[in-house]
Amino acid sequence: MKLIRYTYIRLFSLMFMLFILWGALFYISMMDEVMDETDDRLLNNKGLVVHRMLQQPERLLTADTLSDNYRISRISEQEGLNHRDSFYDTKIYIQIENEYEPMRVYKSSFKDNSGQFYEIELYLSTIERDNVIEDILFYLIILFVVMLGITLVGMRLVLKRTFRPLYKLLDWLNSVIPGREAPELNNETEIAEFKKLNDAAVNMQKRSRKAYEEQKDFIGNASHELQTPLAISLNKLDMLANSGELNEEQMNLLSQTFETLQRATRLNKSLLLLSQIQNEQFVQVSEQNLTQTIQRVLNDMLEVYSDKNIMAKIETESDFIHQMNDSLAVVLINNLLKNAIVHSSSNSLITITSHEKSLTISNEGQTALDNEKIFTRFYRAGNSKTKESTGLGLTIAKEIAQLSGLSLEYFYDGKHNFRLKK
Amino acid sequence: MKILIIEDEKGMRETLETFFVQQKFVVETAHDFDSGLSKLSVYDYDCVLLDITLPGGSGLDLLTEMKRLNKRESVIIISARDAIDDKVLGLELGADDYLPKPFHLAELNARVKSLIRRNQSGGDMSVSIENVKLLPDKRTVFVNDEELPLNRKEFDLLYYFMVNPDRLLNKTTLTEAVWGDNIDQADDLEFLYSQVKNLRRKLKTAGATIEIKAVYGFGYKLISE
Amino acid sequence: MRQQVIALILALGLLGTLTHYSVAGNNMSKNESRLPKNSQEFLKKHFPSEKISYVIVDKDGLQTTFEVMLTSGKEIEFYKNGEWKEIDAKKTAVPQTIIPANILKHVKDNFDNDVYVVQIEKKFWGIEVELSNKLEVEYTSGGKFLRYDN
Repeated sequence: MKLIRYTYIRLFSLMFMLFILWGALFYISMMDEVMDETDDRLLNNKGLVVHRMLQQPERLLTADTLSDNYRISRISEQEGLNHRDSFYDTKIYIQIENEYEPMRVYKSSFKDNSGQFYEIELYLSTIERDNVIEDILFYLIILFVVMLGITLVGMRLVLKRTFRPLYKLLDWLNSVIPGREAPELNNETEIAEFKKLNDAAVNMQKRSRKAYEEQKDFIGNASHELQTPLAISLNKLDMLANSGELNEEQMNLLSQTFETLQRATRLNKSLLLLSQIQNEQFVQVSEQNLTQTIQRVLNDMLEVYSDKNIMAKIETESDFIHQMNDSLAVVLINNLLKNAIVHSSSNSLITITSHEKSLTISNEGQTALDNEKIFTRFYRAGNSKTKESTGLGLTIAKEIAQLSGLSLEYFYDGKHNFRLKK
Repeated sequence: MKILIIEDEKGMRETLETFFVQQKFVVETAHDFDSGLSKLSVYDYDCVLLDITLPGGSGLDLLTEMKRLNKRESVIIISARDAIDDKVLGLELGADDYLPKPFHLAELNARVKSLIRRNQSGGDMSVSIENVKLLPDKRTVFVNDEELPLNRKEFDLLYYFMVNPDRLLNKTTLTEAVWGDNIDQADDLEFLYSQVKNLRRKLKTAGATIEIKAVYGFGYKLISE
Repeated sequence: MRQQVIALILALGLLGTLTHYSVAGNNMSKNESRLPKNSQEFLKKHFPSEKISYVIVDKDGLQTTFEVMLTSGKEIEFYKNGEWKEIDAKKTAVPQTIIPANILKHVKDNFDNDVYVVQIEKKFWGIEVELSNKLEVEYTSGGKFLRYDN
């Protein structure tokens, strides 16, 4: 999950919870306040009514007065002493309106100068109160949605802005290719950690580039320096073989030594070629028809490996033509074809598919190869540790492709496919 | 035949010297730029083997000097620096061939012989041993003046044997020589065996008095009967 | 941070429920006896001929007050400690024995003789007095004149 998305979701869930909590508490408090308001008014009304009642008892108490707002009735002393105040909601039938109306009722008691107890019930319509509550709820929900929306958008903007340098750095890191000049990292930021990260990445890139250059030079120099001693050893062995003074056993030993040394020589040549490619010593380019190169090389190649009895099929939709160095074109095709042939079992089929923009060489195989590793130096897949393999063929092919502005990729679809693409 | 070897590496120089003495050449050696230049300016050679990295100067500069002195020796550059630039520049400066180290003596031999043949007066490029005559340019072979039809690989093989007569040639050396650098990783030698077998049979049928003989596990040798 | 915010909100919510008005459940006759001693004595002393109609124990938040309705219609409110908070004589005169001497003097000095105090209330900033001529006058707790309030 992306950093922004993760942070966003975490922050948002927190905000959402806080908003809900705040909304609920706010609503409860408001309800409380509105209820209190009604009860307060009833309480106040009681004071007024009782006051009037005490002043003019005969006017209010004519036969258990029942008015719209209150009802007063005499109660016994016993009832009066045990009377408890209470508030409750009810519905009362209003004749004029011909309907029930929600009412808040306050039931209380008092006594007059003579010690007579009265029960008093006060009524107050709660239509208004209920409307107010509805309004509060309505506005609360709107406010909740609006606040949440604003927070959502705001948080997103802030997060995006905050992490922009990080994503830019990541893009830059991805664009860095070992051995190539790295593009300028223009990643101005005010955030100290990102600044440090930028500096660290740039420094690391510089160090790795330096190490890469040194390693490249080392391989180049080492393989170069090995050429002469290898030449001398090979030639001296050749002379020894031609001296005619060795017996069969000695000749066999010599033959083995000679061939081993040959292998070392080949390996060294490959390394040298690789370092030459990497040092971009093959600068001259011309138009190369790789489809034709394949046709030319394929026959030789099949001749050499004739005992494997491999069939080859070239399907040409159009020729694959590219601007590149001629020697490298031959090496590239050679290495790819050789790889296909060497790793094919006897009597199998190699298919070459040529399009204008791609050239694919496929050979039969049971299991997919490790895409990460096949192009690395000295990697040999599974059982292919054959004598003829230097473990550099595909590495060289990849380097040549890269240098020539082609992409070389491997994929498995029941067959091993190596595809050159423009 | 006179050959000059200009090579600073002692082991290399001595090997080449021994080899070309065996090949019946008159061999002279030089170990640096100055001694090479002084020998070149005084004597004439049929062929010069020239290393590029020399103490006292570059082999390429020596080529320029030769041009200035109007020397027309055939020059083969032998260099550990298998660099395209060196090769191109060397050939432009008048070298006739370029052979990167490490190389096989038989290969060097073939190239030296080819160059010398080309420079010989009369322009007879043929290589003849016993009753077998090979015309490299026309890619034809005659046994007792009868043309012997050979396929491409068989011809290349025979040519290689004929410029290296009586030399034991390693099988991988042969493979590389015939199939070129491109298939240098092949040590699947079945094809070599069958090609040699065919070549032997054809030579024998045609009544050639030379024979390609297998020597233990090492390789083959062209011998006269 | 998160916990603190939640705790704060919970605390505010708790406060909200504490301030809840509580009147229901009052028993009028029992309330009479719950009236502090000095309040009862206050009533006996200053309103000797009056009887209590009802008493409301008003627990408004953290403050508790007693509201006494006399059968004459006068209302007297007491603090929890029994001291009077407000006396509303309902347009009759508040007994002069209750009114601080300074205020009494100020009223006497500044108004006609037939003007009397109908309501007196202790506020946090001092004392508010309503006169029979509808005028409201504000004093400090010590009875020093502050201003007229229209």
